[in-house]
Amino acid sequence: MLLIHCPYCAMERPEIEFRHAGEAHVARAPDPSQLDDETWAEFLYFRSNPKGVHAERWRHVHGCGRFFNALRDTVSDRLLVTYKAGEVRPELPPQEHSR
Amino acid sequence: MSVPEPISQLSAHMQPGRFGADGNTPVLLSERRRAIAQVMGRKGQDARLRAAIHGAFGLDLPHPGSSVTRDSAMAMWIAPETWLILRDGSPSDDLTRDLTAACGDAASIVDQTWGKSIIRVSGARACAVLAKGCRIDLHPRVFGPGKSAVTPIAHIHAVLMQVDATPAFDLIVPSTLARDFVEWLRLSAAEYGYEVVA
Ligand SMILES: [Zn+2]
Repeated sequence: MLLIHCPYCAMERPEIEFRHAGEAHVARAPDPSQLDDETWAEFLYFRSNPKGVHAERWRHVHGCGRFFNALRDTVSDRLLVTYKAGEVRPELPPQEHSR
Repeated sequence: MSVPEPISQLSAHMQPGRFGADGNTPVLLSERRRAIAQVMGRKGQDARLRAAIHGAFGLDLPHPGSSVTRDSAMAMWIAPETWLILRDGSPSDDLTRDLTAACGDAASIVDQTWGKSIIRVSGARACAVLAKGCRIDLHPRVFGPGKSAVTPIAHIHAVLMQVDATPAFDLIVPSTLARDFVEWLRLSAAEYGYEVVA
């Protein structure tokens, strides 16, 4: 069982309490009507799909209910760090990448 | 005027008695009836809300994962800017009225007295019973009196709070699911023996 640290509950909690909610830090344009179709489609449909560290939104749906962000290694499924929504993506120490 | 107790959804399903395996340390199950209100702080009102609750109830709103008790009242963190306030010996209307008067527009108050049921599980085997459906580590080196968590137990959304080091736990579950929850507790406790107490 994967334990995930909820930055709001400040506790390690079992993975069944959480739901994945897509890529993090995907910003919606302030005025979508100003975008061309290609840029809008890019925002709506295209996501990065890295082999390695990925910034993701997660939701503590069966706990406090809050959305937060996490850096997860898509190779090892290891959650490297979690942080509150609105905070900047943290830098990882070099050894975290190579695990 | 007499004080009406919150109506129980469970009284027919928690008749006192001794059940399950024999033994001299049964798990104890009981229903607790307290007025419950949810307090959700409004944006930017954190300091005002804390002062209001402190002034009216003498309670300092607790940090994530914990609860505080003073006299007959208790406050428990359940989500960011959100707490449950529980109080003994008063009808729920009085609790929501007192909270609304104290908080003004610093918080939204929702009566949960009839929406939730509180079940107490205590005894030496209480952790073993809960471990069958709860994934929080309740060992004393991790958990303890005053600690709390919002977590599914036996697939039912529950608020779990440790009362003392017996250990005793209070479990707050939706009242519409309380009967099923008690059924699960009884099945889980049967191998240790359990007693339903009033
Ligand atoms: Zn949480």
